[in-house]
Amino acid sequence: MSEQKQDVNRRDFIAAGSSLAAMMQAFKAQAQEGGGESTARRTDDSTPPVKMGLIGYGSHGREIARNLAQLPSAPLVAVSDHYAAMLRRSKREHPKAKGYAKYQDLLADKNVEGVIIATAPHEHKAIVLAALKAGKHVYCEAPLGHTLADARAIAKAAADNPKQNFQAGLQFRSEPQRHFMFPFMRSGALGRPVQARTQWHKKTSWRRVSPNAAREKAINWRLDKQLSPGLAGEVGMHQVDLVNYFLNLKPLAVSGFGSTIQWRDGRQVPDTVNLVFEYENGFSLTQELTLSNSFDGEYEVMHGTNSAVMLRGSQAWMYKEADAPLIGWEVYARKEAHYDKPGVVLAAGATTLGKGGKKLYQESTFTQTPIFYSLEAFAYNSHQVKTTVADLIEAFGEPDNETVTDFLKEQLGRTNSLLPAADAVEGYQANVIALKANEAVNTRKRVEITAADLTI
Amino acid sequence: MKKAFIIIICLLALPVMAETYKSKFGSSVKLDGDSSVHKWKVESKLIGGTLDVNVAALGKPGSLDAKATVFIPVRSLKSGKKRMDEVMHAAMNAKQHSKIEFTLSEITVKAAKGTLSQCDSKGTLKINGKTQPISLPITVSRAGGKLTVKGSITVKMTDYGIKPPSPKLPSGNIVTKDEVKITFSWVTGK
Repeated sequence: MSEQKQDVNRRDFIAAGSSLAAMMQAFKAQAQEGGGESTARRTDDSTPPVKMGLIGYGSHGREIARNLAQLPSAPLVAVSDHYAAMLRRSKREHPKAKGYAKYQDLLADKNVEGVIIATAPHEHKAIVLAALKAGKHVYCEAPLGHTLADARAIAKAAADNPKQNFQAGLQFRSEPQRHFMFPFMRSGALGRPVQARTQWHKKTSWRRVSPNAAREKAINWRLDKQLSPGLAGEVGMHQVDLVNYFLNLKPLAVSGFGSTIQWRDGRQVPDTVNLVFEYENGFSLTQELTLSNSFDGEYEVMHGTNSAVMLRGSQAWMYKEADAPLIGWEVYARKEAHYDKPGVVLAAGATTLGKGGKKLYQESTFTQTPIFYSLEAFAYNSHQVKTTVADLIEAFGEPDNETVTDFLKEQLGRTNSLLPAADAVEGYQANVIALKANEAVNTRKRVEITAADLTI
Repeated sequence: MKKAFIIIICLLALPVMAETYKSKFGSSVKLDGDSSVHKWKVESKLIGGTLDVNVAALGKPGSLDAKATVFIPVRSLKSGKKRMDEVMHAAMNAKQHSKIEFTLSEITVKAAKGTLSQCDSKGTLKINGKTQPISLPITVSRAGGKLTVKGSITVKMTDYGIKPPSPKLPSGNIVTKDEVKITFSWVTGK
């Protein structure tokens, strides 16, 4: 839905008047979305709340709870964790949220409208299916499943329950900086795509400790080959999805290999991985992922025949080739020296026009993390789906699923009424590509990714 | 004999009895307005309600019995811009008065050709909890067991107790004009 509503091509971009006008219009729209004020949020205190339940209070669950505490539109009313110590911790840190040892009891709580599932991927399927059956809106962390079968079952269940909002935890899809870049990238500013490269470097063991041996085994699922989607699934998936999303491409095959270099503690999952994704027309994406060295952190760079675009967290730059045609707006845009070349700054809210056309420069106002914006979108979109379905039923009676799906697409998708977020299909496809990459690493073979694989 | 007489009377009365039509998918409503910056519009695909009308009488000029109650959920009106939707819904006091309501009490067929009837209609329009009498020309078309009612009317926000919104922007305040044109296409069926 989100891709459809935002799809643009070069002709649309130019038809908007001029490239400069279109770009400035985009900048201006960003400013207007924030009400013209410096704000880190796209919703405000008047946004109707959707009451949230959190399943899984591990480190990522706690990060989610901290972000929800800053979102009036997504009050945390319940937490579930089967480990008693974690449940006690949630009570201490979020005393207003009701605690449940069993997620089934949280799902039975009528006060909970939406659930956020932050457990290990191999636990997702059972919880997602039960949550949808209980009538909850569902946010499922990515990857949706640790197997293709689980991911497909989750995406199918989401499609079978269109009255509830389902969001896959591909956080970059909701982050304003990346979202702002979307029409720019789709307009063909790169020229013909040549290649892309992403890296994620961080020195960290992934190993968790617990005084309880059974608990320690359970929380170290990332190091268990049977359960872990590997670095490709846990980390690389988000970057690969971003490149595919921006350039509207799907890989045809992936090759890779991995080694355990730093953390030789008996783990079966490589701590360093190299991947090459193949696409049509010779385009390729290479990816370096390691838990053994942190130099140069993480970034994504996309190369085209006219320019290269680099994204690093909430910042982005464009580097034009000397023979690239003049777009127009870049003459007026702010530039920063980077890698010994002047990079044109591409930042949401960083440039806008003030009174009388005076140029104003300011830093991006969207200073929160991608997970914050992803959760904000989940709460807002869940409210939109909930109210639209209620109005639909009042006007026309109880409709069938196909009617609900089509109507939501027309009423919310076509009118651009949802905050950007990854739906079940997008979550599923990113999941498949990541699991194929992990398979390539584990087998050291080239693995094909077919259209049938990417179809639910 | 008495029973047979009653049955004959009933049979004769059948063609002139009103039939009830309910809202179906395919409806749309659009509100168009203007401001100091640009023209604006919001739209919805949700029109609920029922229409009681003598369908046979639509085929010839004259007044006919008709009754309709129509509602549009205010929150379903979308512009494609989240901020504008919030401003507009707040201006229409959507939390207290969640629906735009139209009641139709009279239809006069001015001209009929084939399955299309040009009519005048009278009724009331309720926005923001305030009701005003209105009259507007409409067309009623019959096809495939469905009746589609189309029409448009220009109203003033201030007549319904709505202060034209004036949202703040970095470049200054927008001033919204008072007049709003409502255009609808309401699909009904049995």
